[in-house]
Amino acid sequence: MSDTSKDVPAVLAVLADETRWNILTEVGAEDLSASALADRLPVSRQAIAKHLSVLADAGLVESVRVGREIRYRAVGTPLGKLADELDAIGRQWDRRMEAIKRIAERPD
Amino acid sequence: MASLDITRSIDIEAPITKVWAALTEPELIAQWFGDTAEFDPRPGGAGSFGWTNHDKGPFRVLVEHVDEPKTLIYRWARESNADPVQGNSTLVRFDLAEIDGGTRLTLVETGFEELAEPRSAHDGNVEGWQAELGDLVEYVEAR
Repeated sequence: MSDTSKDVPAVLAVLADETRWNILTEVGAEDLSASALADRLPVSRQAIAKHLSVLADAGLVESVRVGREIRYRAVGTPLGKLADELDAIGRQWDRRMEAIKRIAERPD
Repeated sequence: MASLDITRSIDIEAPITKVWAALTEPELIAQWFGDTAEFDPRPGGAGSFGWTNHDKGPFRVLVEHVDEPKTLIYRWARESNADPVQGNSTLVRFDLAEIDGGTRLTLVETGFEELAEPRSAHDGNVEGWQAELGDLVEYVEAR
């Protein structure tokens, strides 16, 4: 077993929250400030700020300063990494399936 | 598009009973899944798969469904030395079908999203959420 199982849950845990999901979707489309997010989502600005900090810790969003406003944008890398990790788990199964085939096809 | 389910299929030139044996007999499991294996292919049966070069203990499995020689489903803990329960494990399902000249073996591993947060597994949003993840991956990467 490789380390692939370690990072997948970490990113998923962050994404499993519906509000964080919605925030990530919004900042995936355009850079938005916490206030702008609070206008769009049925969540307080304080809650938005908390979720943004969780998303930032996971590397899923980054902040950019625009004038005196701080805006947030989605970062694709962790999601791409998540997809890569699922690919890696799939490749482990490819190897296991090949091994099962060799074992089953072995003459008695 | 990414999916949180892993599906693999392979055609094997061997009778279905030999493929079933490879999936369920510990000494054969140890040849394709880890290095050491204990396995009891009965519903509720426990097992564990170990890796000799791994510094952690074995990973435990719990058999959930057996329909010899067609279907085998077990829960596989993703952390070592832990009993597999919903939230710390994925579900591994093997389906075997007789085909011309042998057996088609299909593997589906599911439940990666359950690893995240046990609560989310119960709120009924998992499926929709799963489909959305794939979209989001594409969406964000395309930016």
